[in-house]
Order: sequence, then C-alpha cells, then structure tokens
Amino acid sequence: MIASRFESIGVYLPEKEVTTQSLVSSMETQPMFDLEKLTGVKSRRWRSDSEDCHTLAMSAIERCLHQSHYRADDIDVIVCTSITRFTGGLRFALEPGLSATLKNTLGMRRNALNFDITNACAGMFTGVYLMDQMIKSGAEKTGLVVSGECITPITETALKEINNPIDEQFASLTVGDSGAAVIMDRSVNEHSRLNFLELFTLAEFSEFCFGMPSNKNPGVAMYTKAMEIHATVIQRLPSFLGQFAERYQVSGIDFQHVIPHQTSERAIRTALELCSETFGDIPHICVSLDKFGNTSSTSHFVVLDDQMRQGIIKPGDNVLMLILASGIILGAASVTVGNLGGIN
Amino acid sequence: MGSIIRKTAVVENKNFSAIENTATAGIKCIEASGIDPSRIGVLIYAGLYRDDNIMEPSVASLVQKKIQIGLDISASNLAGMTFSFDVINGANSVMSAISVADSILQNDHKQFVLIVAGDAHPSKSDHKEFPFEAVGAAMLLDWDTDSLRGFHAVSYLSDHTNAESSFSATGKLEEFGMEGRSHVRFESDPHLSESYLHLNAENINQYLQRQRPKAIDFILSSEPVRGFSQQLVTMIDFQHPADGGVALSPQSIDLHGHFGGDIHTAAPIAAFDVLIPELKDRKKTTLLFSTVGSGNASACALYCV
Repeated sequence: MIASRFESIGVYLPEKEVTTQSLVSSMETQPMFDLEKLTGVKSRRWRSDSEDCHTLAMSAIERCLHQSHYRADDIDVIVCTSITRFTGGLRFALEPGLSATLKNTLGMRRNALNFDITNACAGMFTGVYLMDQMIKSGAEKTGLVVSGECITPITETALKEINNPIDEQFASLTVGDSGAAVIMDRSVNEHSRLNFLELFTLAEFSEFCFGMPSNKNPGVAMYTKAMEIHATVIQRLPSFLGQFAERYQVSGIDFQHVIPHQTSERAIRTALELCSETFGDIPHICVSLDKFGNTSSTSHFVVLDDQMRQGIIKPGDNVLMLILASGIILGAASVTVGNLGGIN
Repeated sequence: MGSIIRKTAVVENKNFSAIENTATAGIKCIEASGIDPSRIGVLIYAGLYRDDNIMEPSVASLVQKKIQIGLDISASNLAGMTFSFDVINGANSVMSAISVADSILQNDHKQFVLIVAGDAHPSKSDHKEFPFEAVGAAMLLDWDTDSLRGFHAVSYLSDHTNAESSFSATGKLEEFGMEGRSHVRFESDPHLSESYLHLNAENINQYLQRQRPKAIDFILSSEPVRGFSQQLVTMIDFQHPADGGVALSPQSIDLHGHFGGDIHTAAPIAAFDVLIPELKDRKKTTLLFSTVGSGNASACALYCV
C-alpha cells in the first residue's frame, strides 16, 4: 500500500523573545489566575518589524529545502496553511493567496499546483492530509506544506482590550510567531512513514473561537471560550483515542512520544491522563510551551524540530500527533519520523 | 474511473452573507441528491470572501454547522464524521478543491465530498465596490468505478515568475481602523482581461495537446468580464488528428447573462448547473472546465458526462 512520509522539515523562529511576565505586567486588568503557571508559557518568539507571514514562511522553506533532496523546481504542489495572511505590516491578503506569492518567490515550475488552506490551528495538518491523499492516489509526487504564522498581532490587541479578569482574549497572550515547512513524498520503507492520519470537525462547537479584525482597535483579535473548548475536548478525547486504538490496532506503547497541540501544559497532561484507560500511556509527552508558547498552525512541527535537535526524538521513533483546533477539529496522526534531512 | 458530479445547486436570492448562501446551496444540493448526509466525509469551502473577514475558524466548519452534518463525535463510532476546511486560490479555488477531492475519493470510494463556493462582501451588504455577484453554489462529488465518466486530471498553470497579479484583494487593518471586519481593498489591472485570456488559452492548449480529446461540447469557463468565454473559445488551438483539421469549438455559457455579473469562485459549479437541462437529452458529452484568476493562474480539466 502506498504511503507518504515527511522527507524534510524546516522551522524558523524569530530571534526576539518576550516573556509572559513582561506581557502580564504591562496589562491594566490583571488576570484572576497565574497565566504562566496555568499554561506553562514562560516566553514566546515575536516577529521583528520586517517580518510577516511571507518572510516567516520563506525562512522555514529555505531551511526545509536546505535539508531536502529536492530543489524548489522539483516540487509539484505548495500548500500555504497559516491562519494569518499578513504581508507588509497588518495587511491581509485574500487574493492572490500566499501560496501564489511563495511559489513566485521560490521560482517553482509554472505547472506546480498552489493553493492556500484555512483551518485554524489544524492548518498544517490539513495540508499534510491533502498531500498524503494526493501522493497515495498517485496524482502528485512531492509537496511542500508551509505556514508562516504571524500570530502575535492578536496579543497586541488583547493587551489593549482585556478589561475583564476572565476575558475571552486571555488565550491570545499564549501565542508566539514562527514559520514551519514540511516536504512530503512517497515513503520507501517503514522507517519513515505517515502511518495514519484522521481529522474530524465537530461543527456543533464551531463558534467557540473566532479570530477576526477587532471592532475596538485597528488590528486583529481572537475571542476564545477556553473553558467550553476544554470541557468539550476533555469529554471526547478518551473515546476518540479509544476508537483510534481499535481501528488501527495501536495503543500508547506503540509510540515513543506524543506531540499534542500546544495549548496549556496543565490541560495537556490532564487530557492525556484521562486517555490512559482507552489508549494506554505514551512514554514521553513533548511540550515546548515554556520556550515558544502556542505557535498555532505550526505547533507540531516546531516541537518536532526542537525535540529532534535535542536528540529526544530520534529517527525511527513513532510519534503520535494529537491535533486540536477551532472548528472544533480533533485529529490524530501516527508518524514514524525518518532522518528528516539530517536533523538528529 | 474518476470523480463525478452527483448533484449541483445554486442560490441567488440576494442574501449577502457568504456563509448563508453557501450553506443554503449545500442543503439544497444534499436534499436534491437524496443521499444519506452522514456519508459526506469531507466538506470544502472554496469561496474567498469571508463574512466579517474572519480568519478562524474555517468558514467550512460554520457552513457544516448550518448544514447539520457530522456535528459531534459519537462515543462508539467514528463513521458518519465529517472533516471540513477552506481551499483558497482566487477564481481557481473550486478547481483546486476538485483536484484534492479527486484524490480523496479515489482513496476512499465510500464517501462523498461536498464543495461549496460563492462570494459576498465581508460587510454582508450589497457593497458598491464589491466586483462580484453574491451567489452560493454547491457540488456533490462521488466516485464512479464502472465507466469512463468523470473528471480527468486538473491542469494548472501560473504566469511567468515575477509577473504581477492582475487582480488583488487585500486589507490594511491599520487603515481600516475599527472597521476591519467590513472592508477589503480591490485593485484591478486595466489589462486584466487580456492577461487572463492569454494565460487561460496557453493552459488549455497545452492541456489539450496532452489529453487529445476528439470533441469538446461545452466550455464551462470563468467570466471575469462579459463575453470572456466566447473570446476564449476563439483562442483554442487544437484539432484531433483524426478530425481532418477542424479545430474544436465548444459552446460557451454566458454566466453574466444568467447571473448579472462575475460570480467568481462559484463559476464552475454554476456553469454546470445552468447546463443541466441541456445535458439531459445527450448521450455522451465532453465538457471543459476552465478557470483563471489572480496570481495569475489558470486551471482546467475535461469532464465526461
């Protein structure tokens, strides 16, 4: 059976670090809780004045291509998957899409397919899902999935607008900027393979989180019903993972690591403890919230890159990716990570 | 074998919400198809303009909620769940969605893919600067294993590197102040039609050389300006060797005549929907779907009815 794999990944994190302490101390309305303790986010990366979604994406792509066997003109498809589409300050681009400008900048073949995806924090894994489908069907051979996520503008708005100790914009204080890219092609052996990936949208809860321009300030804001999202996920994740275990005949011991979507360390650990009965325990939970915060659509790749660079995730390891996003999207992917172009 | 169009629906009731229009079209399409809605495994929103300029969640998830499919996960069965997302690529959004839907259906024949498209101004009003007609369109795709019916591979071609996009839609939030949810800035090159025609014809002619169809009965084309598809037909430069040198000359669909202007992302679906009465009395019909838009880029694919 044909399967796809991650051939190479590239992650770019802006140099500037901003601590949670410095953000909270600048706020007029203080949260009712210790944000750093609750979420585990101590610091996050912050774009410079010259960085935007296009530059973050390009920096990640350059690293990805540098470690890949492919050149830009070998790539059949480029999919841009960020939530934000800012170029040149807070200028959002609807047409042409970012994938079109990235394709142009990279000098890709004219007949290479490009399109953008919007699917909240599941953006990159939606791109991975689509590339996996196109590789399996034989329609395409090589694809580049990228996100240049310039998400801290929502933090800037939250800092101006939070006026309630349980404000819907508190989650906006946990995010960080980043770029991530992955090149996918056909798997040639079981040591490097996307074993399975399934994503579902629980649309009943699609209105629990909105990202949109603010109506109080020139900028973009995110309004999150964090408690409702947490309760919805906690109630469903154990049976969801239990059904995966049955469908794919896997359990926690088949994986060396789990990379959950990076929301809050406490929430992640609570959720995984509850899944112990239906899925079993996974030896190692990968969290990099302390350094990078929630990088939204890129989170799994930022963590994967970080953990491989530290030698914690090694080539040949099985990693369970748990996907969670507004929509509400729940998903799981089993990935046997290969050498990924030299990261080990 | 290929993806086939099981049903289409178009609504043009002058509602100026992209979410409302596409959801209404989706519901109409599912009802007319008679299928069990729980078999829609994937829902793709391929419209571009977003009510209130929302960036999150996907518009597809909000449409899915209105259509009422796959609303929540069952404690005992993952079957009947739906995955939804937005595919964005200017006027080529639907053709891009068809590209990915074709692979999804080929890999899993048991499900359906629903594509919805159509645009409305983010202010959800009849905004005078909005260059498109607000409609909602839906297309239900299925997989046909028994015949040669369905879509052929989609051909995609962008303009030369460094060529400027002939059309852009952007929003500078600093300038929009507190009105960011209801503004978009459009910029259009005066030579847009000419640029689009040349790129579109280049893509089609290269594609036909590869595919070598004996006949094309209809071309279902984007119409960024009135008469665009008629002009495009005159630029098709392919004749099948067995046909004695007669160039293919498919009939075009006057979408401006039907909808009063450019319906942008909805064009391929609406053109097919308009053609349905004509197709009823025909035995074998070959269509050429063709779109062109910002980027600039063009997509096309043959479809055998």
